[in-house]
Amino acid sequence: MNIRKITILGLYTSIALIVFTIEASLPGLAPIPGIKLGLANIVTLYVISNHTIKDAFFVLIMRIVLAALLVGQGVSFLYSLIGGIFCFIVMVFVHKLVGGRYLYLTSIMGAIAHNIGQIGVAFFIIKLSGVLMYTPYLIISGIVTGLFTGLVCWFINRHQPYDRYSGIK
Amino acid sequence: MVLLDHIESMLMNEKIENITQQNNKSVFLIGILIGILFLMSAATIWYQYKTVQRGMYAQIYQNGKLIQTLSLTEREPYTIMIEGENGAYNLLEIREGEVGIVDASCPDKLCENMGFISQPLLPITCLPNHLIIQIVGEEAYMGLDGIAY
Repeated sequence: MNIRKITILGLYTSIALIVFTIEASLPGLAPIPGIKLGLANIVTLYVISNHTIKDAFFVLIMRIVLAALLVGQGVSFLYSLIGGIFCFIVMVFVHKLVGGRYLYLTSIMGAIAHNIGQIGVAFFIIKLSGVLMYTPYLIISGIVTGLFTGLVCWFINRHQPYDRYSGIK
Repeated sequence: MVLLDHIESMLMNEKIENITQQNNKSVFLIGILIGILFLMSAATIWYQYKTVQRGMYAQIYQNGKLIQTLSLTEREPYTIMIEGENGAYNLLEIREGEVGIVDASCPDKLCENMGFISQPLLPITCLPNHLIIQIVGEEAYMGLDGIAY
């Protein structure tokens, strides 16, 4: 890992962190726990599609750990870690499967996986089947927010002239 | 599939390379999967709303244990305080037929924003304080419905 790469990945991590912090300070979209836009996922998706999977995993884990220090409230770290890793695995899988096109498909599947992972954590912590009642709502919200973040990332990819040639592969 | 490719290549203004037949198949399957998930969720929500009955009791769970069952038939509204670890608290207000959280120590206040619930559709959840309030009908309270655990 050379200095150039460290700098670029640090930059992505800080962008993700800023976006995550701003989003955390906004009021929730809907009065159901777990429904949020997941804007920080744009950065993860961008790094997956333009750099390597290892880089993306690094950015994701750094963002989650640093976000827990900045805006965390103890247990929320577990939610974002499990949700983030679920989302990452599914996104990498789908990204390979569809050959790198249709980023919105990737991010929709990722968002659904993220939400299901969070329900899993909530079920594990609270141990009450009542939390499973949220599943259909969170799947639909995952489809909508995943489509949104996927399209954002897709448009970023469309409008970037130089990044593919920056030598960070 | 062809249409999606066409739109994408038009927008991207470039030729799509290295796309195999296998990839196209995967795109199709994932699209179908997302569609199925969406329809199943929508159908579940619709079914829940259609078959819902008015609840009679509110069950309060803390850390997965049922700590209180409140009757929702009182005419006068009253409040009760549920305290948790490390000074966490939730102030519940019980009105006739509905229950809600009016004050809480959690940072996101999602539980307050969920408002008052009167039906067994969605429980009120306060994740930071590990608190769940769900409404049950008469049968569930009599122990015929194993919704807890």
